Amino acid sequence: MSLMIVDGLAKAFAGRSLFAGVSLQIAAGEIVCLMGPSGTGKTTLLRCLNGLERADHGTVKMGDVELRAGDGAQAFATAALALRRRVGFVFQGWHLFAHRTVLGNVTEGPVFVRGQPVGEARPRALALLEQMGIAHRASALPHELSGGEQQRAAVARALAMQPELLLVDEPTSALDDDRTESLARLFRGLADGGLAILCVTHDGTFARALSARHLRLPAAGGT
Amino acid sequence: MAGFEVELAAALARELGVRAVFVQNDWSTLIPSLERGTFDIALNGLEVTAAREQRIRFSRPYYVFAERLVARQGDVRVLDLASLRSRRVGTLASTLAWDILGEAGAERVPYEGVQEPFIDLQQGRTDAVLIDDIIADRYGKRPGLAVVGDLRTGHYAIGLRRQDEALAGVIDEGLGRLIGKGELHAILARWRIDGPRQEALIAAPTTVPGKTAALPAPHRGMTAHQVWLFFQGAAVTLLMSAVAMALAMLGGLGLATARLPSRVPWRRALGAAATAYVELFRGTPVLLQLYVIYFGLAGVLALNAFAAAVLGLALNYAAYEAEIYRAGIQAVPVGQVEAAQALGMSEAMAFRRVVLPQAFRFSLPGVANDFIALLKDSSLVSVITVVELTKRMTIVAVDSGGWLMPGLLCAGLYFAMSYPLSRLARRIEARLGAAK
Ligand SMILES: Nc1ncnc2c1ncn2[C@@H]1O[C@H](COP(=O)(O)OP(=O)(O)OP(=O)(O)O)[C@@H](O)[C@H]1O
Ligand SMILES: [Mg+2]
Repeated sequence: MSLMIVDGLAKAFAGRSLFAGVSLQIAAGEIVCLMGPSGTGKTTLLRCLNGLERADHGTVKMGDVELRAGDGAQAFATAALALRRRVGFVFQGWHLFAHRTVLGNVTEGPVFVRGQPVGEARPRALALLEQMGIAHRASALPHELSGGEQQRAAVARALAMQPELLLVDEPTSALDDDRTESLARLFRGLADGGLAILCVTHDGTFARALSARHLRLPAAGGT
Repeated sequence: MAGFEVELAAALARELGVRAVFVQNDWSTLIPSLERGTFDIALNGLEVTAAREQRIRFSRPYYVFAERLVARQGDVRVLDLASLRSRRVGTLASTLAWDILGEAGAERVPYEGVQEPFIDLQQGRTDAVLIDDIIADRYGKRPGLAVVGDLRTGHYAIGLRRQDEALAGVIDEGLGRLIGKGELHAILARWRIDGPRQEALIAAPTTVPGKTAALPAPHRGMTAHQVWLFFQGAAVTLLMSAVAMALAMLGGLGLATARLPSRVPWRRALGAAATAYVELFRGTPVLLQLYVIYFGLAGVLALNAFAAAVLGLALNYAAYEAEIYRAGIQAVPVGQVEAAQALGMSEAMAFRRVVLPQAFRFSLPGVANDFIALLKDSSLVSVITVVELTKRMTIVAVDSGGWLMPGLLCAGLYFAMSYPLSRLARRIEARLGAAK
């Protein structure tokens, strides 16, 4: 049973095609690694999957939610909003909320989007930060963190929303080997619990450690 | 320039065989300007008072004026000087009438123009106007107003520097000849301000003007009471500025929000209206805006002076705050909004939860700087009769005969109010710098 079905996705910027006819399916509990040279459109593809970017053609389907490239602005926005409540996203540049502490970043979604009581969201967020090894930085502001700490905080923020699918863009770019390995272990554990993960990465070691299905985007201009 | 005094000056110059050069000067600073040599004689409704006689040399008088009391038709409460106690009475600041009203215990409302006291009287913002008869005749004949009576008479004379005794003698003689030839009378007649009262000028041609309008000579230097009034002025300035700034910040937020890009037609129209507002209020002087709100809209919008001042400043500064917020909103990186959207926030929620708080922080130094500017701009509201710090300074300066002490005290109080703000602005800037 596929969790997300991507069909015939195509995107071009200013007439330059990045990818065309991308179709893929991800099942619950599955980890997929998306690889390929820099500038081929991996980030763009991820953004198309949760509607941050609108594809030129194709559809993204998840249960009864369908994101269609050809839809009107209102319909597209509504579908994207519904999709994002089930899909977590970790940015290549992390984009932690600059005005909130690490803990605030992690509780923001559960409290204000999900409507969870703060008393529930906080201990859960702290447990997540513990799991990511940055609980001691809970009250720090993003600009006070190292790159690796920010990266892990961003993963915790996405996981706090208890998504069914996690889209992750280069999650190990700022991590050392030990941290990379423990992140791989964490992802495998989450996948065992049913979470689907689509992970863009350059890091062969990480990809192997995830022991996942690999996809490659061909160099720009191809297919 | 026109007026009977302009004609008199020209006639006097002809009589003395000299050329008159006219210099424009604020009425309330005529005497200091005379003393520092901006001009040699002051010929502009200077009332002869004991206090002024201590400071300057007066010529023989050229006009006998009366302090005329004007009230609304049928207002039986305003009868005489005694009836003015605790009533709001308008007049020009620093005039004899101002002093008389002070003595009488009236609540004095100071004006800088000659029409505005009567507009406010019509509107019911004051209970009476006490002003020189020349002005009352010319500007006070408005529907619904009536002359109650003349309270006191006095003399207008030409003001000269004390050390220019020789010049004073020449002027006195020249004036005497003009009076003797009937030329002064002809000028007064042309302006329709002649009358039996003016006969006194001829009847006693050589009398040095005297105690006609005598009031006790004021203190040299400032009294404790005047210092206390200064602090009151500072409190008015601070309260007015703080309330105006709070409103301006709210209004600015509304304007900036309305101007956010949108595809919805009615929101775009709203944005265009907000832009028009910002351009209009930034593009015209706040002084003009205060005038329009207080005097121009007096018939439609019955605001008291303080409320009009707060509203005027708030409307003006809202335009500036809107621009500051707009810049602040634009300074929030797009990645922050996308991160919020990726969590499932709607655009509105992302704006509220993520963009606004950050934009607000970016805006704080600009807002603090604007508050400092507003504190100083607030001195403009004296044109609509609010006695704030600067107005209090000019009143005390004229009363006490010196500008240095009141000026320093006034500057000190402004500084005490603005310096903490400027420190705060710099602290926030430093903190934001560290967060980048
Ligand atoms: N909004 C945009 N407008 C125009 N061009 C864009 C836009 N976003 C991305 N691009 C271009 O699309 C191409 C692919 O960008 P993308 O970020 O998806 O690549 P990537 O595969 O993630 O690269 P990397 O491995 O370096 O992260 C790049 O050439 C980029 O300049
Ligand atoms: Mg990328």
